[in-house]
Amino acid sequence: MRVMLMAAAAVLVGLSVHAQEVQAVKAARVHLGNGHVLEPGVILVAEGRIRAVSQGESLPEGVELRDLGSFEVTPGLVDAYTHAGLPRGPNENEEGSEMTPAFRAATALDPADEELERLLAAGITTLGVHPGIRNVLAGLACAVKTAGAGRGPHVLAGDLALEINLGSDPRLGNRSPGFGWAGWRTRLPTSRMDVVFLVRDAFQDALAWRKARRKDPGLQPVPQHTILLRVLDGELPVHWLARRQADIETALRLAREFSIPHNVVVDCWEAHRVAELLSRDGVDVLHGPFIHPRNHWGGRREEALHFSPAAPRLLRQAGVQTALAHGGVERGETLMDGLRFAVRAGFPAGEALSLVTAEPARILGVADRVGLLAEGRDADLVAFDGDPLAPTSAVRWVMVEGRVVLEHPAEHPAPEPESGTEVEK
Amino acid sequence: MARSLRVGLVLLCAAAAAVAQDLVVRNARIISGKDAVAVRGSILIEDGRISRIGRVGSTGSMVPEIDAAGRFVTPGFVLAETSQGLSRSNERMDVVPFLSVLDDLDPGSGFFEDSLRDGHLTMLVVPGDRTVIGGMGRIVHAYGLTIEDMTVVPEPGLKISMIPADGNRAAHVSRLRRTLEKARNRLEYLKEAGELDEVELTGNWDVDLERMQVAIQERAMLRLLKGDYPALVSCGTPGDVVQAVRLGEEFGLRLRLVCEPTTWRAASYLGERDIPVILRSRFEIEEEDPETGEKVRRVVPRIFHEEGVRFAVCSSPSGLGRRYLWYQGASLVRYGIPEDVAFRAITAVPAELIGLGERKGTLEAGKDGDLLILTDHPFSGRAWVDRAVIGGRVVYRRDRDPRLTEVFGAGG
Repeated sequence: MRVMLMAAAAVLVGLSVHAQEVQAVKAARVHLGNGHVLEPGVILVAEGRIRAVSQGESLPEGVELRDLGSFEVTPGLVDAYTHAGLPRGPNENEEGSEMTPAFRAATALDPADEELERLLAAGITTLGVHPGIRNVLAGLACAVKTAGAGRGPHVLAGDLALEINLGSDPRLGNRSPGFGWAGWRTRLPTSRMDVVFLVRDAFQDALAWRKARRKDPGLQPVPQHTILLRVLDGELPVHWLARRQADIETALRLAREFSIPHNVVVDCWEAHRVAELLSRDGVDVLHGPFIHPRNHWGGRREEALHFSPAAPRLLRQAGVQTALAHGGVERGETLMDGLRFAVRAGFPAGEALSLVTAEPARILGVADRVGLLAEGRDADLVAFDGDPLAPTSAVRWVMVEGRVVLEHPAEHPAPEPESGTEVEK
Repeated sequence: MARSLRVGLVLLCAAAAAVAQDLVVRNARIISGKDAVAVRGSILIEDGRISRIGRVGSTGSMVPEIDAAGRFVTPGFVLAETSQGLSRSNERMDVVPFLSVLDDLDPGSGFFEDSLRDGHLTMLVVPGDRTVIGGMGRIVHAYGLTIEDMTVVPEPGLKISMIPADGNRAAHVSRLRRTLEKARNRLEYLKEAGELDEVELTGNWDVDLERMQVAIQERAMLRLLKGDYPALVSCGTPGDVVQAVRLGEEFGLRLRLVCEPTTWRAASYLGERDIPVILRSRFEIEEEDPETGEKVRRVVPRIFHEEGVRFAVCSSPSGLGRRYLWYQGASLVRYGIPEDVAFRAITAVPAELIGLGERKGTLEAGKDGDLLILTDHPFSGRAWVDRAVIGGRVVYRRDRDPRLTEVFGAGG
């Protein structure tokens, strides 16, 4: 029995060593994620990372080849604003309080959430998972991989940004006192003014605490203040959920009032209307899905009335760093679909992929690991069976951290084996 | 004199809404809809009908001319089923065969404006699913000042829903069956009574029912049973499909089936009987295996295709890409369905399934002069409708669309 166990262990070790050998992935076109395309291209992968990317056909000796034929390879896509992985309900929004800056999405991640699998099938390998929309200081976003070598979805990097929700969402569920009704829901905010008040109050409290700390070094740190002070010191960016023009301007005003160094506006459907202000203040944009007002499930439908697929182009023209986020896979429609509409509305096709690869990776703060096919980055690759920007192209193959995690998706099942031998693609 | 001339011109322009026109479109890459191959050529429309495709000689200065060089020309897309364009898609009462969408259609609805912009030129508008028998549908163009201007077919079929609003299928089907039986009995009685009372029957049931003084509320069902028009039946489960086909056989009804993706298990049943269907806009569904809990993703149009069922697909305004028929077609290709099948699923097949196969759905001599001039291949994902033409008349121009300029800014 013991001999068998040791033999089994030896086989397993042998397998894992094999997985660490160098692989070469070859495809007719390789999109690096920064606008450059190699035709054909070869990507060398070792130990879960990209060792080299080169144009042409030549391969080094003794390397296992994965020939993807006519497929086109892109970096694993990055959806930098989503709530996937946080199960609906209590885990997504801590309802007990509106001010939960210490709520860490990284600790609430549920790797079994089926949405993560759907996102992976859509070619999205890295997510910016954010706490829900119902709190004002909602908590800390994290980066999540939708798959991994030898393990499932996992946190890539935690505590990447503080999410602050402006606009009408944070007041969902709250009620003004009146007609004798009272309960724990009778609390602020019940209006946009309340939301802004709470934000300013929180930052001012943090500053006051710091001042008091200088006089009394023994003062106990409070998590909320610690986080806000890190924001003020430029160690933690703020992701402002601000959909309408007025909310975006409010975010900019608050950022200026407290001299917050790093700001990103998120889900901002009217950002293109204030492009100059965003450019002036050096604020990045994580644009939300181009969703029809009818389907806006959030606060109020007016918030989605002015969205435009031309927004990424208009923002780019004004000099604003923009990325596209989609949030999930709604009935089969994905981040790539959103990108296709941005291109249709005039975003230059040659640079479009960066909106869903390098740019969101940079905004999230994980550009050293994902978002580009370049030496040292994680080996996260997606293969499409045609031009990735064409709606007729499907995701056929996905590699995360050097391990192939998806082949033969539902709509393109594996070909029937011919005369007993498996046809490998 | 000047005043009467002006009045005359105004009247002439108003009348022009209904008048078919001549048009020649030159140098286009024409995708006829018989297949999905783009062939260079020109199209001549005379008196609202396509008279020539391919090489068109000089047409003189009286025929408006469009140079479509570098652009694609396709048939107008046909939307086989929608409940948009109505202020309410259903009444509270559920057996209302005597209602008609005529009474609720709003020509000014933004839905029709969007439809032109998106290339959906002809659509069958029906009451919604929250009904047993919902009333008469109507086939309209997406263009026209009044419903009369827009109407293509006033009585294309009666809406029947197999999908119970409250989930109680047994009661729902029971009501449907009783209504059909009652109508059939009434029809038999009237046939006999007509002979007994020696009422002079013309054979045109609309007239005969009037002569026999049959109440208006009854006529729609009687004419359905007589076969004057089909039943447009929406199905939510495979059982609904089988029930609908059986009821159709039992009562001698002409049927058009509209299928939710959850009916996919009936695909082989339909394939064996060579029954074509209209598929609703959602293509992917996820099902949970009741025993293992494992989730399985299915691509429904692909299943129907593999079972040999011919289908048309619909669009739905609730969706990013799904709101556009051209995107739906491109999605079919993405799922592995051949391009010609995908293209015909938004043109020739829906035209045929709504009873307009002779007039619309392909670009062929003799058919209606309805076409789209697109800036790119319809499945490229980049195409915009540059011009939309109905009956030889240009009904939409992208360069004169103020909403597009507003939404997309200059150069959009």
